[in-house]
Amino acid sequence: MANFKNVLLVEDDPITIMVCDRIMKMHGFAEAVKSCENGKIAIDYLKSINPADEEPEIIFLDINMPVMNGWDFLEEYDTIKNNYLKSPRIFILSSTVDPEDYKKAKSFSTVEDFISKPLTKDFLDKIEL
Amino acid sequence: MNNTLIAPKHVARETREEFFEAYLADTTDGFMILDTSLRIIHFSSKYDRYHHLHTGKHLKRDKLLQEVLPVQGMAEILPFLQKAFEGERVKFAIEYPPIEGTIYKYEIRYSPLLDSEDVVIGVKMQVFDLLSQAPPTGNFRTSEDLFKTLILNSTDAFQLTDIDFELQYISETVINVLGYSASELVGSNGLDHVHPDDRDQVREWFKKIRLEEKISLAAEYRIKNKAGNYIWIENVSRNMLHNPNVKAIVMNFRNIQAKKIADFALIQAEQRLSLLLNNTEESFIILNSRLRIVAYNRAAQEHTPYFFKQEIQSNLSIFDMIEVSEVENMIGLFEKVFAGEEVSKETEFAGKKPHIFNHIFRPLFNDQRDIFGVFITSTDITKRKFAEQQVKESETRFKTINRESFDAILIADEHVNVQYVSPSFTNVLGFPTQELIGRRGLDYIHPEDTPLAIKKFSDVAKNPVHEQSIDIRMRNAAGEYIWVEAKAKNMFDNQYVKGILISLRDISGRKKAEEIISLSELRFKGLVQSGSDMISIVDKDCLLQYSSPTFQTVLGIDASSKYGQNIFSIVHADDLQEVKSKFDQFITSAEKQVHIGPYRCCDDDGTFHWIESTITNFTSDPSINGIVFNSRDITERKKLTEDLAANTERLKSAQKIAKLGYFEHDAISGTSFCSDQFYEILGLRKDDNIHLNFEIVESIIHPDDRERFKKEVALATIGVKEFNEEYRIVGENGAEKVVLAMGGINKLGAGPVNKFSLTLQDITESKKAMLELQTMEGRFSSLFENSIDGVIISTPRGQIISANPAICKILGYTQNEMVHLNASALLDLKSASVIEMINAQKKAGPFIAEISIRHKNGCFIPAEITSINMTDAKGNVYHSTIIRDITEKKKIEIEQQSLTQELLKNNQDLQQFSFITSHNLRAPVANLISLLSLYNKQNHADEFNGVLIDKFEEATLQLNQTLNDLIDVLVIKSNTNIEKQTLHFSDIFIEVKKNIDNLLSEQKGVIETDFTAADNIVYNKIHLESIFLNLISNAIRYRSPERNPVIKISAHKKDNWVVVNFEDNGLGIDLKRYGDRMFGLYQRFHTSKEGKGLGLYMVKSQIIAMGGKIEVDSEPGKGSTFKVYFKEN
Repeated sequence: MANFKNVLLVEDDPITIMVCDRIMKMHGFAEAVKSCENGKIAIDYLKSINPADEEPEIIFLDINMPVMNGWDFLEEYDTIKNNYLKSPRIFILSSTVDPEDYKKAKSFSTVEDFISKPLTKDFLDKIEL
Repeated sequence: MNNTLIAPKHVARETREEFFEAYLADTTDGFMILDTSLRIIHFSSKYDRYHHLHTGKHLKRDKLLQEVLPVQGMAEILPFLQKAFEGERVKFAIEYPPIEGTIYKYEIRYSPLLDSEDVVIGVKMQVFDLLSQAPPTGNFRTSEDLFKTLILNSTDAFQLTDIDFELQYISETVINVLGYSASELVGSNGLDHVHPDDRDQVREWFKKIRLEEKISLAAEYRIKNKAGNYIWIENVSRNMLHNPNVKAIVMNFRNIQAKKIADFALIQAEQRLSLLLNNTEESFIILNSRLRIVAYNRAAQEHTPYFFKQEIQSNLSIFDMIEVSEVENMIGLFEKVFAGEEVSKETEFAGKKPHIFNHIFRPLFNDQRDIFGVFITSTDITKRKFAEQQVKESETRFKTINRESFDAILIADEHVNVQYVSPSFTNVLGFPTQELIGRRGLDYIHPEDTPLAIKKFSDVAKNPVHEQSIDIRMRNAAGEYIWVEAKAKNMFDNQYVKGILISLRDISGRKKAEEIISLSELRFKGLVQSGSDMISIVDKDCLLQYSSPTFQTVLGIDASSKYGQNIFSIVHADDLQEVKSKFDQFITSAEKQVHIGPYRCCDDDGTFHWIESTITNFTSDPSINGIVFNSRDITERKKLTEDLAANTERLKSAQKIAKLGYFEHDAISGTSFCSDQFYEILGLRKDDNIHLNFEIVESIIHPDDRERFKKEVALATIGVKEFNEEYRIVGENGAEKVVLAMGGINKLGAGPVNKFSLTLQDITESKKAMLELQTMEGRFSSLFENSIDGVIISTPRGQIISANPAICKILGYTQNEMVHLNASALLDLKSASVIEMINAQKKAGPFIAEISIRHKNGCFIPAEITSINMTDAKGNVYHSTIIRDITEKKKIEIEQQSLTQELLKNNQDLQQFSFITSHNLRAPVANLISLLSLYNKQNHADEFNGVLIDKFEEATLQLNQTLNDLIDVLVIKSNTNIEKQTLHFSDIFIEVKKNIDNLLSEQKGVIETDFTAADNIVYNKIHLESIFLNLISNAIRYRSPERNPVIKISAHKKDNWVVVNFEDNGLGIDLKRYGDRMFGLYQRFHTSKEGKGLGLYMVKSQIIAMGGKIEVDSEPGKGSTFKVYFKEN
């Protein structure tokens, strides 16, 4: 399993945050997991961090969140993505069953894959460095 | 009779005249000659000198004596003249007063001049100067000198012969006659010089001279002159052998060559004249100045019984020949003739064979322009008179027909100026005929027709054999234009016409019929072409020559691709033999039309249609020259089409112009005239002799009309009233005819007004045609008038010429308003579909589309139109447009669309709902799975397992809550068994407020309500409370941290809604960003606030379930207003 230094989890459900954090750390997928409870907080976080040291390599993004949902985050992110050296790989993590969401996800070039909840070890195994 | 003719002896007379003139000029005698009317015929110069000396006037020929004499002188001589004219010789002396001392005294002698009949034809007046001592004239001293002079200058020669004709002495003047000198001839025999042909005659004559003494005998014969030519001489000789002084035969001879030539010519002329006169049917009678018959010809002799009471005979006075009663008339007539006038007179001789003669009395003038006789020519003009009479009668008849007829006759010059107008013109245009004479005919023609009329008429004027016929509109007396048929013929060469003969006929009725037919035709075409009938034309070999566009519509086959192919190529194989054999049988038979079918035809797709065809053989009709197939689906229309075709044929024949029959009866003279057409129209034979038996006419009048006819005829014959009525007549076989009868007294001409005339016109066909037309028109009208679809017929320029009631109803116009509209008024000309339609109409193709048509009120109505171009018999193009109001259809379509959209939306909503519920159910389940995966099953005592169990409980409760929420939503959405009751917003508010009082007081919130404008609503109580609770609690929940919440709730009515506004001063929301998700399920927009994103979704569901709607206005940082629309009861 690949090992990443910083993983950002954009998710409003506390149980999901706790479970994801635990799984990633337990299997050595992430050294540090930062969670933000909606898109707005995530954007603010990304704008605030030191690019060289704390830039996340992986972002797990939920869609259905208050204040700023996943889609709005992606649009906002497109405007600031060039500021980052590492260009984090974004994975949508959602329990949606709406096919429109899958289509929409593909329209964003920044999105690498779409993961249906729950996040599992098997899926983490597939993410290579 | 030759000798009785007066012959013009030109040559001889002229010669004599010259001598006479010379004599008069030279004579010493004073004389003057008067004729019986005292006209001066001749006078000598001496008489004139005397006359001039005493009166100061010169004499003049042809003057009357009283004109040259003073009244006094005239009175003195008149008694003497009287005597002279009575045949007496008169002598008297007259003395004039002295002139310059000289006394003048004359002896006057008057002698009557007699003709061969001893009738005095004039008087010779001589005057002798009794006192003049001067010798008369001339210088002859002795009578010997005189004699010699006379002899030497004479054209007469004188000779003496012995008993054997031997010439003993010849006068020197012989040289004047024969060219010989006397000495050359003396001693020769006179007979030797005579022409051999005349010698026997001369010998005989000479014998007589020898025998007869005392008398002179003359002979005319030819004798050779010195030049060797024979000349005619007259020789007057006398035997004086026994005269002791002479002892010879004395011969005087002179040259009569000129006279002989003249006589010869005269004889020839007389012979010719005689031949001519006696072979002519004209009578010639010549009278002398005393009106005695001098000459007459054979015809005059033959006509004697008509002219005279006795045999014609020379020398009888004309007055002896005629009846005493006529004498006075004849004297008057001859007075005119003798005054130099030519008089004609007609005499009529009744009798078995009546004769009419025309006599012309001409004065006969001599060279002095004196009348010396009368020349009467008489011509039998019975036949001519009779012909004239006939012409007159036929003219009267013509005039009568003319007056009664519908045709007016005009004669115009090359500029169409009217020269003559027939009386019937008044019937046609209502103008008195005089009004038109000299006027420009073109001024009465409709301006639109004038150019054509000018062209046609000038064409006729230029071309002598041209005849032109045109239909034009002419202004009548009332100022209206009526249609007339004008036939113009160049008759400049005709001596009676000398102009353009134009006949006019009022054809407004026909025109109207034509218009109706043409309109009917259009309607017919419109209906048929929009129907399913196919019309094909094939030649004798069944090869397709033409097919109507419906061929394609019905069979889907482009007809033009089949042109030249056998029409039966599309017939089903099973039916082919039967159809073909029927067709072949039809072609070889004399049948005009045959019906074939039903049989099957193959269309483009290979499917078969049952077709029934009516086949008509038009090979003998040059305009078609083929066999026409009318093919159609087996419908009622088949019958209609056939009926129409038959009706159209009948109508055409009905248009043929009816012939007029004419009957005339003169009650007084008993004469009648009846034209052949009169008998023909009545179905009678000529030997029925209507004039003898008028009851026969009455007997064939239909019994119902007979009394009316009798009454009208009776009134008309006594001149009380003319009539113009229609009657039915019944033929031998019971067939009925309708005639238009016009009867009345003939008022033309000067005669007594007792000529009854009756004009008949067979109007059976036109009556029948009118009936058929009405039937056909009725059918069309019925179709046209009762059609559900609107039908408009318009010109290519868009002028509407006909519109049916359906379209009027659709568009809100009256029919009268419609026909004054242009189609453009009904269309949005900028609309693409309208432009497309107009282009299609130009290309003459059928066009089917949906377009909008303007209603009278200005609104546009959706319509489905079928537009086709049609051409009438005259080649005029019309658009027939069938219009169907599709408002209802459109409405249903829109309703269906909105229903479909609603269904689609509901479906999407449901799908969305299912996605969201799945998502919300999956999320806790996923958490449970994840938690389970983290559970340390090997070591249950693992510390972390306790944490997981807590989270497990949390996730399970979350799942349960989600399920409960979904059930609530489903209950609302199921929309069943929702109880309604009358609720008051004020009551509901009080109820809800109880639940939020704590929260409100915690936040120091204020709620203001105003339900005065609307308080009642029939609604479900639970739903209404839920709506109020959710919206009020949201307003508190999403309050601004900067101020205490103030919530204003009010209600008002708007349209059919009761609107309740919930206005707050809270956080507000960015509607641009979140507006579309505002009322979505599980949509949350505020962080750190309680709420699952269910409230507004529930509110909206509850409102929609009761037929209402919800809207929101919001401004971030200022607040939001939710407007709830409840349907008013």
